[in-house]
Amino acid sequence: MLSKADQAKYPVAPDAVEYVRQRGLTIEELSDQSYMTILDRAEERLKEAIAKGVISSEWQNDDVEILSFPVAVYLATILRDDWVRRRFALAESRRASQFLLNEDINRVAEVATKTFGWKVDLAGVEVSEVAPILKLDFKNYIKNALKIREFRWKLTNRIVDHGFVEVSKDESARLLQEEIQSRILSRMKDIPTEQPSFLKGRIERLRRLVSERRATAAFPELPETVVPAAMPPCIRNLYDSMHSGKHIPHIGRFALTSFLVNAGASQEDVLLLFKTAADFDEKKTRYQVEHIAGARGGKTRYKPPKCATLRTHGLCITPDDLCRQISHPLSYYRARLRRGLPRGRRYAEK
Amino acid sequence: MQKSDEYVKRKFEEYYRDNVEKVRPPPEMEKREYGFLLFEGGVMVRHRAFKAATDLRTFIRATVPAHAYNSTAYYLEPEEEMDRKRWQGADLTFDVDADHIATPCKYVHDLWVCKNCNTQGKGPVPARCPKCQGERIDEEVWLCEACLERAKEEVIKLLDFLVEDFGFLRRDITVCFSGHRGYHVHLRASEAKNLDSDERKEIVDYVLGLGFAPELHPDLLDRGAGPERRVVGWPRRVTRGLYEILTETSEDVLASWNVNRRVAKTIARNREEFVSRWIGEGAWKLPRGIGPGTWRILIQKAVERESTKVDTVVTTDIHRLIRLPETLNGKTGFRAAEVSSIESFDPFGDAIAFRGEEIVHVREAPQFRVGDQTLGPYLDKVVTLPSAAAVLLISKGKASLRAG
Repeated sequence: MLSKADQAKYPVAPDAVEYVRQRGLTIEELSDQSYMTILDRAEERLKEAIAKGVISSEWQNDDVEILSFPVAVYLATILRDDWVRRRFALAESRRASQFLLNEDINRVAEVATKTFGWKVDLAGVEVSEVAPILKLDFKNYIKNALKIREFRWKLTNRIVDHGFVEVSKDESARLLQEEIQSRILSRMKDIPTEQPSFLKGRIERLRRLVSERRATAAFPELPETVVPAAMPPCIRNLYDSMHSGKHIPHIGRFALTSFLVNAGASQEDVLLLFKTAADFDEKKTRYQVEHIAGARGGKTRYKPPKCATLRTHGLCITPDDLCRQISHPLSYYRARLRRGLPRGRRYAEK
Repeated sequence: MQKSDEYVKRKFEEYYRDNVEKVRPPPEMEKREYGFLLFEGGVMVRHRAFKAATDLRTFIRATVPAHAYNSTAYYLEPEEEMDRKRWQGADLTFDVDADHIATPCKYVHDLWVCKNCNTQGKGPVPARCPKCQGERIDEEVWLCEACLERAKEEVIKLLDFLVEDFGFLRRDITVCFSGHRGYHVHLRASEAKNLDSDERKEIVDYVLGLGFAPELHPDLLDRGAGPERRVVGWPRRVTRGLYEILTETSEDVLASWNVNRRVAKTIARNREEFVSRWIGEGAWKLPRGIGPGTWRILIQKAVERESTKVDTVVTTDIHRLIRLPETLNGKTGFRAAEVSSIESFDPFGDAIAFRGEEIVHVREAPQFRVGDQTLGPYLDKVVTLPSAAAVLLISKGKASLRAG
């Protein structure tokens, strides 16, 4: 069981959630003057998240700190803004991660196992002469490390032994940050339909702050036809191969079709391109294209695979500088359109 | 031609009549989707479900499919359309297939045909037809002992990854012959069941050694340090690979890897000394003249050597259909036999399904073995073959039935 002070540090922890539940606080009750401090701190948490991306780690009263967290989650949710939700989850998880960095490794292991249900090899806290190492269940590791796009987090570059991955204390804190972030995000999935009137003023203030702070450069609308010169190298290669009637493996076809459909190509355009394929079967191809475009089956339009997946399947070829800054072929396309095409290529198209 | 196909189907029919009890449904069989490719018109029957082994066996005996598959996934509603099946998890499955392994014998037995000008050639498929520059090329692949032996080595490496690195229990892993050019490895453990596609991909990348960055493994780059510093995971494998490379690789092969000829010579000349130093002092202590550039090349080659070449798509697809164990593979007539000991499994003996003999006209076939009989090579010849060999050649389009 976490102490009150620890619950204030890690308000997403089940113990803290249970504590809040036992208090049985309802939204309506919050309008009572006596809860003003909690509302103030909740609003402050959000303001800090929106303005600075990080939430202060000092507080006066454990109760206020613990109870203001679910209220802040609630406020973030009724703002109905995906950017706010993500920014809040990130800021809160960074705050927790800062606390973890200041704990010793045994305490970090305890938080990981008892609070977040991770599996840690208990004989695994090793105090070597260099740095203490924690042995973490590989599934807990993968799930969270996958969200961090750096080479050193790739499992291949880790010491993996009998189901456990070696991580340092700081790395454990970083992985727990990811875990906390996804837990907060999943708590903000259900969006309430009503906005209590007593929160109106606070919501207005937050909205104003959001429009001031949010990145001004929103994505431009994608052009209505696909611009091959803006395609990432992987997709461009598939596109050119298709044009010249070369055989493309299934996953490559899927990547190309889903990319084109998402970049605004009509289903007829895609079919036309596939007609040059050696083994073109109109009925089958039409079915597949419609399926990917979401006109059939589950009605979901499929997104192209992300860079990591394309790499795994050997489709990532000759990545360029822009590739290093993105993790999804569609992000490349948008960025290329926004930044302008490389000189000499824009008009070189057929 | 039609007569030949009827013959193959008849052999399948006989086999299932007498041996259908051997067909082994996967665990939690009622939660699986089943699919069958029929002989007639290449029709695929999917989204089937069976509550009990007898139902499945009765179906197979009645329909005699050319290929039978089950889903690696578990569903609440296996007969529904894909998005309504209600996925409950999936086995962690690996496909090790000669298609993904570079074997030299492919130059002997694999064939490509240009769809444009009919030019033929042997070995890996070229990007363009050397004659007409056409890019549309068909391939005809053969299964041979050397390829299957290499596939076996890959399976053994994979099992080592799964047990030693990932900590899975050997008893949760089943290996099956695919009945063609490789093996399927099924891992059925509750910890693996709910891995999502991205997580499975990370496991695949690990066994492939994808993204291995030497600079993140200082113990390997520090040539003054010893190979014994790390005895687990990838560093262990790279260490083993380096040892084998340094002790076995010829000067010419080293040079073909872009190792400077003089350095290659030094390595070849100092093998004995290297090994004794390693064993005696536990340190790399390479002979002078092997620089960091060479060392990186050798590390990269060690990673290639120790990685397991698996099909990336099969493992990451969590809705995959895979061959049902102990059914016949319509490409060969071989049994997709469950393998109890991978080291001693003999695909050309243990997977044979048919008895009897048949007279066939073989257009062209390389030398091959069925049981303890070595057959071929054949060129435009009428021969009496064991039924298993006749079905194999007919299924591969290399022979047809010669009635009477």
